[in-house]
Amino acid sequence: MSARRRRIIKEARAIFWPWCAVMVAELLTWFWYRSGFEEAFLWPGTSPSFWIGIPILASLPFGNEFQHRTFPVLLSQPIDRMKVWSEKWVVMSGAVLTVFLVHWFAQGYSLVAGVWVVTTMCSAIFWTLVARSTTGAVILNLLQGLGMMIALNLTRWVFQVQPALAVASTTLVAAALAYALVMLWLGRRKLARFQVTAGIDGDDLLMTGPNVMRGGVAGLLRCRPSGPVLNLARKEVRLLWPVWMITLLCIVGVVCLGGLQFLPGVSGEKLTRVAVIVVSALSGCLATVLAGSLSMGEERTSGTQSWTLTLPISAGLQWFIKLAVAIFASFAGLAIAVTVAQAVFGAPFVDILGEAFGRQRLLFLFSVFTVPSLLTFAAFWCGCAGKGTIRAALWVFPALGAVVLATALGAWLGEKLLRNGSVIDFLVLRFHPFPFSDRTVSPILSLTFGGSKMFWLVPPLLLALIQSRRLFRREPQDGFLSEIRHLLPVAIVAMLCSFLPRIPVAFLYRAAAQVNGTIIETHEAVGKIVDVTKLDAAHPRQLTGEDLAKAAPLSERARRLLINSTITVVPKGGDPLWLQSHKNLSEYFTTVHFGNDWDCTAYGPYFHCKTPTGWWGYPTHP
Amino acid sequence: MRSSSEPVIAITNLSRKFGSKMVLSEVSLSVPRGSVFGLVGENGAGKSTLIKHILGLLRAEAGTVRVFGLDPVSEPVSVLARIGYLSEQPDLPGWMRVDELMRYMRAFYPKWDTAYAEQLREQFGLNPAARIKTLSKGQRTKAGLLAAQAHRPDLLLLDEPSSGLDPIVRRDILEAVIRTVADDGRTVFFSSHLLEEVEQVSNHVAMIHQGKLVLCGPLDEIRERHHGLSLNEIFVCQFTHAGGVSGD
Repeated sequence: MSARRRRIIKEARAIFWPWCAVMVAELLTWFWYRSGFEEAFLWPGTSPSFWIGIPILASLPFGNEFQHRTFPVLLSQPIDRMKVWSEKWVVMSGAVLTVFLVHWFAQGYSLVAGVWVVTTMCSAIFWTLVARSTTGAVILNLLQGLGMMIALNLTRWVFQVQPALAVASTTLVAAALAYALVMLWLGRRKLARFQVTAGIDGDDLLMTGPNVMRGGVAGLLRCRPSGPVLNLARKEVRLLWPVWMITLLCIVGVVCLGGLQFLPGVSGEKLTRVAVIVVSALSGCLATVLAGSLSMGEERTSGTQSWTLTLPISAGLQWFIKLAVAIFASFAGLAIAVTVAQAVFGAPFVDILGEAFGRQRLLFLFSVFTVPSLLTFAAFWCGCAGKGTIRAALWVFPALGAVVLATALGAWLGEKLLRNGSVIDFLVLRFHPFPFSDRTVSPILSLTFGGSKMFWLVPPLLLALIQSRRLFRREPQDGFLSEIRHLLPVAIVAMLCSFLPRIPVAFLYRAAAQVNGTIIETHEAVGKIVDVTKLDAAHPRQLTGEDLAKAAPLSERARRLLINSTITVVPKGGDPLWLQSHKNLSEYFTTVHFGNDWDCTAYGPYFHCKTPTGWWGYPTHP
Repeated sequence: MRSSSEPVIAITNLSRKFGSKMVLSEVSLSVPRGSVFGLVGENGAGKSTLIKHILGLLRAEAGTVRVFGLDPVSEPVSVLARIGYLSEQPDLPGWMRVDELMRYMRAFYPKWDTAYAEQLREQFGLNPAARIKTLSKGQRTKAGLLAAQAHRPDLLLLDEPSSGLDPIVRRDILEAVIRTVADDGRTVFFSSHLLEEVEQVSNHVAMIHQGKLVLCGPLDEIRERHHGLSLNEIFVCQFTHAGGVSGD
């Protein structure tokens, strides 16, 4: 194998798992859109996995070298720097273009997406070398993307009519491509002239980051000689500076978009939707994921975390402070961004968000802030299980996807049990061969399918919380399998929590199905042995379950259920009002008085039951 | 109140595996109060793993670890409050300035001696306004040493402290620090793979090889048993010519 081929394989291996993560996220988004969500919410071509995944993939080839501190080694090898550049660029282009192809296939052609991909591919290396970290490069790329989006909207506003709009759009695309070429050249030049000037920790954007907070803010967050807990919290707030920067970027973007809506001829609704996308992608997605993964990831990479663990303060408290500050940062960042956007765009902004998060005020607030908090926690968990910010950030969506899939699998197994539960049928017949009253059924159904079903999120969340607390102290192992090993128990618990609540429901369902079948079977058997023309309402025909079983063939199930029961048969007549609207009533009505004091009356294909605690099956079709 | 004759560190039959690899195998040692205890061994012998157990960062899979008579895993705060720790690569927050690091550390240690910290800072020639990330490796080690020493810990735990320092500074700093602390009745436990360095400053030595403790005791006794050979010679004899470990 040639040296060049070996180097390309090494580059491909370094980017393979992140590529898989972005691809899975893109495919999941595709399925999500196919289920109709996109039509109701955002414009075509929108997917956070695409807009954030592409810059991550594009920044990784050089970002990885900074993260693993191998960049000086790379540059000291006897290989022409331009060769290094071209090999990395080829591998990165392959990864990015395959994701773009899936995006194109799933969501159709989009000029904006195409331009975004080309400019990102061409500029990512330059931004990575400037920022000296993947995260910094992603942020700079997003900033560049935001600028492009604003330029596009401005052009559409200025040149509203054809052919001027077409000419302007073409010019804009040409300008973007020219910009991409310039950035490509700058990236090559930057690498050719690159000097390793930093100390052993590198000089990346994240390490220099807290320095950007100057004056009052820095003074407020500067560590004091007392209050160790507050010092830890201050340190965390400062470490999360990219989250604050993204929030600021989001606010700037929203305000710029808000400025455009006052221009004549601009679609306010479309701008509001763009603002929703900007807030969702930057503050709702990127910032929340970074808030969770950043402080753990960076401290793990630099080794500061193991040093912090030797301080005389409990590891549990350190873990709690880290998690609390991360959730606070994601919550505060999102709250600020949503508040500013609402102030700029008014009620329509909340209405569009409401399409995704629920129109009820309380549900809306709960969803808008709970979902990002969960995302932050998921990222924090990934940060504890793995090593490095980007690794943790890329793990978030596959890990969440695995837990969601496990939950769906549990639900599917539960449904199977519900529909074809021979074991459950046996148990019902053996232990409770009678229907359950509404009083019993309602709380169980509510626990499984109603509002209380949220309760079943608690066990996997609790387990993940305990796990993250334990993993916080541990030295993370390199390798993909250890993260899967940690994820497996959470996925199993999620699956069980989805499956187990369906067992009582299956029990109820199968019990009800058996009673339904028995009542109708009894009614039909009665019709075979009783001459309905001779029935008299004043003197109803009385039978016992045993009499009926002797005279007509009954199933084993019906024979068991009819033990100690009496059957009363009356001619049709004096139908209750609710029954008069039903068709196909039989010429006789059969009432079964079961051993458990239930009275069930069949009117042909319809029946209802009167129980000691109320009505049941009113009117239930078998 | 614990007796002053009680060892500062008492490790009994400590074993630890990482996967299938046995990193520590039935290690037992005792570090007397006021001693300068040198732990020597080649790279990968298990020195850092042993130190992590002393710090409570790793739980003993088998055996016991007691520091000041306490279990460092179940009572980490009480133990860590009395330890000053310097790792091989002092992983201090790179974005902090030296003066901020001093303020940050002071909040954790009630016994922090501000005047002593300032004296050490001047002695090490650290600029208070300099960010940690801008310091050279040697200066960063000094900053780590300052953070570890300024609260006058009962036990100074140094994991390969001389790594990255030039020979002269290394000798000066090690001698000054270790003698000062030891004279003060405090205890120093330090690991190194540089045998001359250990021999120079320690009065108790333990030698670890592939996770097993092969020598442990006062340095004078060890040398006497080995006919006055230096540590370096003992090491070479035991692991190179003998082709394995011989009992002492």
